[in-house]
Amino acid sequence: MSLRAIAASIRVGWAREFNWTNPLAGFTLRTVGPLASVIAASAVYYVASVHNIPPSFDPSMLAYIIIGAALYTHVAAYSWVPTLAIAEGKWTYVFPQVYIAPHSSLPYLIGRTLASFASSTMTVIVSLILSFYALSSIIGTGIPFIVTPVSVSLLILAMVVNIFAAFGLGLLLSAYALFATKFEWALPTYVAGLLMIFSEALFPVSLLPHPVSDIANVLPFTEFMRASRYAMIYGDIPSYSLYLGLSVLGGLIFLGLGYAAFKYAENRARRLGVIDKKTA
Amino acid sequence: MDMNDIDAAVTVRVNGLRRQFDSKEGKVIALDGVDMQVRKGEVFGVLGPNGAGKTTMIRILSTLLLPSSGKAEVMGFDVGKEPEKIRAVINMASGAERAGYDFITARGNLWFFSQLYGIPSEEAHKRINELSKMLGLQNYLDRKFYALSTGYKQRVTLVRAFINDPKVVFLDEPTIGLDVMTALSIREYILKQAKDHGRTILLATHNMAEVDAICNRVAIIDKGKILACDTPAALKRTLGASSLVLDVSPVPTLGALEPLGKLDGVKGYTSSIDEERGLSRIQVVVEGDAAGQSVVEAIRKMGMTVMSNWRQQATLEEVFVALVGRGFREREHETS
Repeated sequence: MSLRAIAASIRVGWAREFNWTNPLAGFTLRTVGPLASVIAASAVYYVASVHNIPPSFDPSMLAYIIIGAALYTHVAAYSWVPTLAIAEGKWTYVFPQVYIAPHSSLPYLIGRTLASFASSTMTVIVSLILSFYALSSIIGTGIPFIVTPVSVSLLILAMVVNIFAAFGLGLLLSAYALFATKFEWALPTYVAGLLMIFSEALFPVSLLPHPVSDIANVLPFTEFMRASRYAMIYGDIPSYSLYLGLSVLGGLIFLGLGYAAFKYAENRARRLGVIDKKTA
Repeated sequence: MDMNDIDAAVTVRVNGLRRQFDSKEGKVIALDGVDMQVRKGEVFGVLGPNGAGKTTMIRILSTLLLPSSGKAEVMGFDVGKEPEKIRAVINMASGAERAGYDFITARGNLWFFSQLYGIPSEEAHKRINELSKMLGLQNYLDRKFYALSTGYKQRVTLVRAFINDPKVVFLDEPTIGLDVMTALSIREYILKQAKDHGRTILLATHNMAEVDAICNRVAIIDKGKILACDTPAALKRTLGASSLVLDVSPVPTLGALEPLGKLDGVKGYTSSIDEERGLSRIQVVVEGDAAGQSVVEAIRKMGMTVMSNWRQQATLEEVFVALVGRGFREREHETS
């Protein structure tokens, strides 16, 4: 695995994300999405809970939703990058050229994902800060976040650890994109929709019917959400550690599955002759 | 040179190579038992009409595609079993595809591809500058890729194809759609790369002038089969006769000229249209003057006026015509 290829792909991925406009406009536009998601989800909860009879608004539930919505958009934003890199790479012919460079397709996808992870981490943190202040002032009540160097470090560690699962998911999706000429652009959107339901982004997965709730319960994305909430809302380090561990374990399983699927798809795509094919 | 030396000098070896695609219309045989050897330092042309199998061959040799059967080796490595070893010593560029990120400069794109080959950054920049200078690209390196003209994008593509100091380079129609001057400078560049660095260049093209100008040897391919393989001069010599060229009016439909192919002494024909003058130029490979006369008469009987006719030295297209009985244009029309 070439670190040089990964580093170059990070640089290219970063340029791909921001070079189309000036850096400030690029960053602002990339922050609008997650910020809007967090505020929309929080607003829905707030309106529904205050108009409930009896009113059931709970500031800690609002914190739960803010963390879930922000981290969900974070995962959704960078986990689909391998698919994007292949789909757009086929159109621009960059991907076939990457493919015929020795041992390069995987470092390329890793680099592109890491670039997106970095940019999305920045935008999500800004979204969390802005939504925290905006919602606190609009609602007129405190939101029980624990903001200390330790809690923020633990949140960032959870985000870093979640790269395994997100990249595994990205590889699974890009396995399809390798030999697909239809829906490869839309597929990550469908999967992101499912992720919102099954990753405990907005509500506990125990509310889902069996056996769906059991599956959702062991997904690494769910464990990641739980670990992040234990760091930022509940301040419970042992529980954080447990869910972080489960997140790593699940992430590695996802990564293994994604790698196997991607390698299989690469060979099959080469056999079918679709690595450099744009249309069916 | 003994047989072992010849073997050592072979960089691309293809035996019984076959590739079949399944399509909605049924099975399509793109390569049908191709045998071929390309030597070190050679600019080897693969000449044929669109759909002949040229691109499929390049895709297989550059490890983008697996063959259905047969064997293909590059620098002694098998395309099916050792693709990574091949990738380390080859590169490839297609004239129809200009790989690059639009919002990154030409230099940035080239640097990115160089890093995939593990070239230290300083060395990569040196190579980018050197290769760009050879192609007149040096003043455009810091422009974003999208802002480059088609010709300069193609120059970037060709710099990229040599960035890793490859031993074998596959070029698929590298000058397609380019103006004459750009095409000339690219041909010079390709020749220089082969001569000065001993690289093997396998050039797939349907441009006969290009093959004539830069290829040491050429394989003529049609419907997935190699029909002839030799130096351009030797191939033209095999015809043993000049060809008859006629400018006729009005322009005939493609099928209208088919009776020409059935005349005695006619090996084949091809035609092109001169839209500006409203004429069709027909080139007929004939054996002897009598056959030439019967061609002129047949064309007149078809209701066309022969504006002028003359004999000319055979070109590679006429070699193709003599081998297939049709020109590139007719072949492409038949297969479309």
